[in-house]
Amino acid sequence: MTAAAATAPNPVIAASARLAAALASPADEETRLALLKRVARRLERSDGYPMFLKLLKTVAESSDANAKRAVAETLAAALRRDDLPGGQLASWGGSRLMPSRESGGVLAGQFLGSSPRKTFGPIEYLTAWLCQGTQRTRLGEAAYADALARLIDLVNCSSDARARYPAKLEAESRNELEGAYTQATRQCLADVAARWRADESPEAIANGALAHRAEVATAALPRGWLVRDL
Amino acid sequence: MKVQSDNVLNADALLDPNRLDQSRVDIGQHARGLATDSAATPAPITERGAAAARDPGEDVLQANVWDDNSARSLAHFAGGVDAASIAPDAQALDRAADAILAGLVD
Repeated sequence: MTAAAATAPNPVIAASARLAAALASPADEETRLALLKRVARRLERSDGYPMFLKLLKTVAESSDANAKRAVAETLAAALRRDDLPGGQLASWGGSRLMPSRESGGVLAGQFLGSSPRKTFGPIEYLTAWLCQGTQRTRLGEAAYADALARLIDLVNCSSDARARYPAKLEAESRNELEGAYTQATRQCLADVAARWRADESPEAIANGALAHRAEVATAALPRGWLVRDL
Repeated sequence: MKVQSDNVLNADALLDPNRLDQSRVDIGQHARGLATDSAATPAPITERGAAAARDPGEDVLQANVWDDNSARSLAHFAGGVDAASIAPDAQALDRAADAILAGLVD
C-alpha cells in the first residue's frame, strides 16, 4: 500500500468536508441552498438520499464548528423558504405496488404504473422511513435514534434553524394530506417537535420519541386484533 | 418471516379471536404472516420483521467512517472545491456538486 493510499480520507468524510466548505463560501444564501439541493438531488437519482443524510450526519459528528454552522445556516435558509433538500419515499399504502425485497412483489410497478411518491425533508424522511411502509425496508430504531440525534444536533448550530425546524415538524404532524404520513408518523413527528421545543437534548428527543411510539402502538392495539401495516 | 401452510388457521377462526391459538399468532407485527413458527420470542411491535434484511440505506447511515484516533476535523479534507467559483448558474452548480461528490457517485 502506498503512503497516499494509507492516508486517503474516507470518501464520505471527504465529501462531507467539501460540502461544508462549499456551503461556507461567500456565495449568497440562495446559491448555497441551490447547491445543497443539487447534491441531494444528485444522490436521490440513484435512491441514495440516505447518503445525503449520511453526509449531514458526518458533518454533525465532526469537531468542526465552522462546518456545522455553515450547513446549519443553509438548512435555516431552506426552512425560511420552505424548501428543504428532500428525498422521496413511496406514499403509504403504495409501497406494495412495487417489487419488494421482502415479499418478492405483489403487483409489479409496470403493471399498474409506478407507485406515487412524496418528498420529505431530512427528519421527516427518517421518521417516515421508520414509521410507515415505503419502498425501503423499514429503518431500525437504533439507526433512527442515532441519525435523528445527530441531525438535531446539527440543526441546533443555527439559532434560526433551531427555532424553525420544530415548528415545521409540528405543522407536518397536522398534515393529513393523502399519502404523506400515517397517523403513527404524525404522532412521532409531533413528539419530536414537542421535545425539541422543550429544549431536551438530541439524544433525549430521539429516545423519548421511540419510547412514546412504543407506548402509543401498544395502547392502540386491543387484544385479538390483527393489523397489517401499509 | 416464513409462513408455514400447516400453521395457517382456519379462516373461520380469523373472524373469532377466541378461537385463535394465541401462541402461534403474531399480533400487529410488521411484515409477518398470521401464523408463524417463532411465537416464543415475539419481537417488539415497533420493530421491523426480524427476518427482513436491513435496507442498504440503513447500512450507509450506520457505517463507521471515522478513524478511532482521528480528531474528527473536516478542515484537512475540504480540498477539491473552489469556493470562489460557486455561482448561481446551472453549470457552476453542476461542477460544484460533481466536485463535492467525487468518489461517492459516478
